[in-house]
Amino acid sequence: MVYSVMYYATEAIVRAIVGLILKIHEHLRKGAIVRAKEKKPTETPPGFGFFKTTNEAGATEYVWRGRSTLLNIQIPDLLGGLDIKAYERPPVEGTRLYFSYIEAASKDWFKEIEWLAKQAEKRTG
Amino acid sequence: MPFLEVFVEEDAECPRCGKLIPKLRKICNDLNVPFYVRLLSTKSVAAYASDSVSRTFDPEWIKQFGLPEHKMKLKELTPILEMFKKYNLKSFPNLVIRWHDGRRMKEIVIRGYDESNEKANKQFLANLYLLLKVVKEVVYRR
Repeated sequence: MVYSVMYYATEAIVRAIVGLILKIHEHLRKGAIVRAKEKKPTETPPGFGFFKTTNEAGATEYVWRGRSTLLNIQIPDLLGGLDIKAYERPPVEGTRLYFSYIEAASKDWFKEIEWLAKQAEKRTG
Repeated sequence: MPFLEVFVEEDAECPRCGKLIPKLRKICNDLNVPFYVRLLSTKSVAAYASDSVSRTFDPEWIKQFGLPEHKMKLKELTPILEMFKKYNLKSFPNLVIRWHDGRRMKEIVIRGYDESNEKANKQFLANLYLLLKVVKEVVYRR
């Protein structure tokens, strides 16, 4: 009987210790995930400067977007020798929005439009 | 100068366009917003004028501006999209709401129309009415 009591006692202690270790491990793991999410930098799309794009003919093209002047100048890279530091990402258009009928017939469509308008307002300052 | 207009790009033989236009005309008359129809079918005078939607079917356009879901399916759909381009195929009706916000022209383009689902249709018209009302208020505020 003494042996069985000792057996159950040791089992309970071991269970408690192992459980505690597992809990600590999980807590640390979750913390790491949360911290990684917090650290992730939010990319803001560039609004002005040089952008490297491809035109309709398939040739590379540099586009200058003005900050306050609203310039939009295309410089075709015909010979491939232009050395311009440009963003690889295409310029943010944002002036034309495309929707299908199914999207426009959904309940939350108007909310989505409102949200887009707010984003555009924020972007233009 | 405030500017706001609504137009539909249509094909004369398209049955969906014929059903959509009277409803839109009613909404626009109610809100006193200019409304007109552009005939862009292959048989019309403006057969070579580009509509506002077909450029979004271009693989190059999808590569640059498309949604991630579209880009994922691009490889499968490229032959069909190339055929669209080759035969100058267009989809109708396209509803365009266009206004000037003081800095630049802005457009909302809605592709397609389906009258079979009455509930969705009502929601669509209600959404449009609300949107036009809000846009009109914003445009004519200045």
